[in-house]
Amino acid sequence: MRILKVDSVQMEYQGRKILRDVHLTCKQGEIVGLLGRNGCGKSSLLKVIFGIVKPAYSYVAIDGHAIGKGYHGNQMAYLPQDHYLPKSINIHQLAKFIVDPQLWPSFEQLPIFEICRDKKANELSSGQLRHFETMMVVHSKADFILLDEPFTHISPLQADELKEAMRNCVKTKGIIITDHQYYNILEVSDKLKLLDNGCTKHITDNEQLVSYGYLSGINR
Amino acid sequence: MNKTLTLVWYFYRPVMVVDLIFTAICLVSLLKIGVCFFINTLIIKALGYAAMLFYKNYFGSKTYMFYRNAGYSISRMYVYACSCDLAIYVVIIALLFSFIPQHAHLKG
Repeated sequence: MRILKVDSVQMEYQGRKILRDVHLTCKQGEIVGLLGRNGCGKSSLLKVIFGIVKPAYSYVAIDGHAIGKGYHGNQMAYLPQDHYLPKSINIHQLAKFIVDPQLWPSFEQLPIFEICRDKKANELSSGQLRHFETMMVVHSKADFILLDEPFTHISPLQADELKEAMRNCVKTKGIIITDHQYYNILEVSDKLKLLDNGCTKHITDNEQLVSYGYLSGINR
Repeated sequence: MNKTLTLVWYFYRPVMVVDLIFTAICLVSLLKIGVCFFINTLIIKALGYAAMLFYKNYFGSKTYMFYRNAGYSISRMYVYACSCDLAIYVVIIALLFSFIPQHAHLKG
């Protein structure tokens, strides 16, 4: 079983320490939910892990081997907040470069694939494209998947499809997910971390989200 | 190899027009001035690559994540795209060599 370990991340932005004591582990077969307020550094942390942002200090390792760029050798895949597919190319062709051949049969069965298969990115609605891009990353060859706000811009039905796909794919992968739709994160995560004041706090009881000031109350 | 070439083509396609303009300037200059201008055309090509980099960073940087998720770094994509382009440029010059004046041909 592969383990992703993120330790001692320290990062400043415009003189403000946004990350100063971050510790995170993610095992294959596990979904780690990352919650936090706007601007607390969730996206920055995912970019640091993926290797596209260089912090003052960080230790990111898979199975004890430190890695600089997570995408080298398809070790990690990352869903950014913005659309990332080239616009003028058939997205069925683009998907073949990212989707794991072993997961291709289940990827082909997805309703969103049927809708999008012969289209280009600029021929899809923003929500369809977002859902397709997310599904591509979830079904990618990478051992660890980093998802930045995958539930944004998609319908509740698509959110359910995504959660099911994540549960299917997580058998062979580790997933770190962050989103403001905390109820989806609570539902899908095996382990929960709250990023507060630049530090990660392990959440064992959802009531802690209230006591740490992230939520005003929990709807049951 | 096929996968890499296809990805390089996808990466290069949006900036092809920018690059072709600089290539056309180089070829026309060579045909008008002569082979002695070759080194200068390399400088123009380098400027073309700088323009390509600026254009891509400004208008197409969001697509970088696609190539990273495919397992390729962006600097690697630039190196491959520029190398392919330069190789094609040299082949075109070789094909047009007999039409390029061998001595400087400047109107004074």
